Amino acid sequence: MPDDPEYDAAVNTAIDKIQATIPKNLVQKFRVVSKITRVDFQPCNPGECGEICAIDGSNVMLLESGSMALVLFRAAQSTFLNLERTRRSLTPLTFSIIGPGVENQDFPGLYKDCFGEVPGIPVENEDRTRAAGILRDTIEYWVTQTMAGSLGSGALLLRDGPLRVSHASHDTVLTRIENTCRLRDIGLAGVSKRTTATWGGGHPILPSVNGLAKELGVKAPWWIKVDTEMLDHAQFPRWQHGQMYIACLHPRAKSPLKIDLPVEISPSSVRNIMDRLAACSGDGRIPGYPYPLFDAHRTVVLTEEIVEQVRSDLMRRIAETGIERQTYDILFGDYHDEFARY
Amino acid sequence: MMNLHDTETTDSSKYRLVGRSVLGYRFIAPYDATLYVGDIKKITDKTKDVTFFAKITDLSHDSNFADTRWDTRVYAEKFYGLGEDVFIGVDAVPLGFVDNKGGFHKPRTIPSKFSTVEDPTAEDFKFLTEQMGEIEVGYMRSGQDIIREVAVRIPAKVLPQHMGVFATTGMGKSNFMKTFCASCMKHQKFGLLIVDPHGEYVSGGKSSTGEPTKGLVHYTEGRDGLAIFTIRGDNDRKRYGMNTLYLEYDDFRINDLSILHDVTGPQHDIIEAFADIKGKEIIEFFQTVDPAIFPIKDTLAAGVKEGSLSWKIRNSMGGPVMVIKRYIDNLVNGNKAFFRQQGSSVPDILANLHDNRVVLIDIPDMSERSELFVLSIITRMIMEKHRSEARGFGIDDRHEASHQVLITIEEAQRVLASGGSSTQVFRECAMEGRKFGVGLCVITQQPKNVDPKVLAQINTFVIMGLGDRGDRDIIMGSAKQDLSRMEIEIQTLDRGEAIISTIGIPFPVSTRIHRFEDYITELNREKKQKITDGLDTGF
Repeated sequence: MPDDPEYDAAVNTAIDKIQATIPKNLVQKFRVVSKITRVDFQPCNPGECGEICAIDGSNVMLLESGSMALVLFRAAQSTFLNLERTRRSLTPLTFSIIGPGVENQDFPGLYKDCFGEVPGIPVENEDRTRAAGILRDTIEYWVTQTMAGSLGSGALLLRDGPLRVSHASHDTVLTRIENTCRLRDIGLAGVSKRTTATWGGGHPILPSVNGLAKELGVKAPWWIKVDTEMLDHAQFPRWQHGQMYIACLHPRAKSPLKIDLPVEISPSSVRNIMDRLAACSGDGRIPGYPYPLFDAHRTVVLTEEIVEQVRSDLMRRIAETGIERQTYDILFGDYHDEFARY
Repeated sequence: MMNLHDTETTDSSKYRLVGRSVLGYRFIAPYDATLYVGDIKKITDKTKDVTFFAKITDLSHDSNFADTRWDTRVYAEKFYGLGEDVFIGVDAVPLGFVDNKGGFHKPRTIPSKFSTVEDPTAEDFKFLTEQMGEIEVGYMRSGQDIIREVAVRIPAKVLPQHMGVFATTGMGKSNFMKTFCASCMKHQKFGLLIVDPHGEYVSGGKSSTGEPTKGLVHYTEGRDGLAIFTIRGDNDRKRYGMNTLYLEYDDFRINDLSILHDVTGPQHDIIEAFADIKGKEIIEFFQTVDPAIFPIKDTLAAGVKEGSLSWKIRNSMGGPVMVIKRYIDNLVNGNKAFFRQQGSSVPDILANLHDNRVVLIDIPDMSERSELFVLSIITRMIMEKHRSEARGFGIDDRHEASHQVLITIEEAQRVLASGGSSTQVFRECAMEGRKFGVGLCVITQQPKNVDPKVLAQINTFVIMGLGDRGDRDIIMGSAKQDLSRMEIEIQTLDRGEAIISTIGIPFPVSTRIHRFEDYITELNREKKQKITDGLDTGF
């Protein structure tokens, strides 16, 4: 956009805001505030991976109208024994209607299907994206619970995301999963590529820790326990099930990861989990990211082909029920598709 | 109740047909599979109840990843779980299909999508064994494997329709020819003429790689199928039962000079004037004539009779006459070992050829000119004989020549190059020999230097490795079967390997040529079947 002072000013403002969160002296500032030294960084010693099971979920909005949306979702698990996949499973493709009405009508049925009881708290339809995420999380937790009950002792269960629920109804589920894992000697970890956690009034934690490790000459793979006291805001403690760690699992990792481990975990178990995470994070396509999670993601992802197939099935069935094309277009037609043609 | 379904653990995406057309197939194989260009695969189409066969023509690395550079990143040191998404893309050329009654057909249709691709067994090639001919030269090859159950045998009936053997030095050309000769000696389906100026066919010698080799005389059980005409001494002749080679002056025609020398226009005029004159008369004329008398302005004064040889070329200048005289002197003196005034082996040679023997003209240590001289004379006389036989046929049986002869020409580009009218006899042989039961076995390492019109007449191609792209292109363009998709295989042929394309066998066959020494050892173990075996000999 040449010669547009207003535009330039807008860009500069945006940059200034970003720069305020990641100032040039971010690392030095963080070093002073966190008091982290070289010895706080623990090295990973990658050895045998053992049995690792990764769980992931995927959801997509198939149709959206003013009053409702149709969401498609599923979850998957992928289990490896020393990086040879031994089992891979998927839940069926599941549809839910979000709206009309305030409360989601499908959630109680889905929850009961999964956990044999009705949820104590309903899901609201107002925020469709959040509602879809909760629906997806429900079956993800079900798969996690199922695998926690079936994996061999000593296995490691990985969840894509934090050990923190985003809906109260999942709180008891995650507690149950933690208990099962503890009883069956199964490790549990939540692996997040991103985190909302900040320190010092908005500085992101991941680049700060990563920069400090570099400055201190710590060679990856490493991990560090994060003292939540220094974070800007405590997350809703009742929904928070994990203790936060940050780990860089490979020398060529693109970015460090936030790892959530159960709060009551022994230091030796932390070391064991970090070592195993590093051991399975050497794949050349995504170095620094646990390969079983990558595989679970590739298993579960609702690709464009799948979505197109499901959409055309839906349209055919809708036509069979006697709903006219025009009615369908009025309900679910997207003018953006038309706009995109020009 | 929510369910968790295990996905299929067996990988069914490999070894099933995924594309592409009638002319080319594609399937994928595990990234660590061992496959070779030239491997033959069986494609079982259960829906149509037919079995297709295809030959691998190319292999490439491929993956399902959207990122095409996933494997070239600097941090790409190890990869997990490549089995499903990383694979070898395999391109194959269809060979044909066998229907449920065992009949083989050209690949005019396409196998059903996802038909299973697997390795064929020897039993699968039964149809091919039935279509093979008689002249065994090797075993069928599938990639690196040799299929011993399928012997490659060239049909004898197609050989007089010309054969080409194309190979660079050291690819096993001599071994192929000796193996071919041994097989011809065994079956005696046609006469085979071979002129050997190096003396290696008789009793062997050393190969181009320095290994000791055996000769045709070592195939003792097939000795009856071999007649040798040689210039060697009595001891050698008696030891191996060889005949003495003689050509007489009358076997010679002045046209033969055109093959041996580049003649100028004035020289050609002289040759043309003497075209019908017998050799003895020509030789005696040039031995006695004084070139200085030409041109003869006054024939009466010079004492030159009308109709005499001098009279026929009276207008020629002295120079061309002198050159022709020199050529003839050299011819007579240079070939003294077998060229004489009277007494010729040619009738015997022809008789042996017509008895379907391999006739070996053994002229060790003779020059290239001598080789061509002998070859051109015998070729011309074979053509004359077969033409005259054909003239005696009735209308109905004219097309069936009673004798079939195959004439071998080594380094054929010398006499069958584009635009050379001087080598008329070989050209005639190539163009119309098949009508009279005369075929050429054209051997060359430079097919691009052979007249494409001659190559177009060849029905049997034996390709043994050609390094030059131009040579490969000309062969691929000339063969009766499509070889264009087999370029990589041709390029990667190893010593002793060949692709044989002939109209008798349904598709080009990759062949491991028998090692001559091993083959004749095997043949000597078999008792040769006598021609009278099976006939009732009693009264």
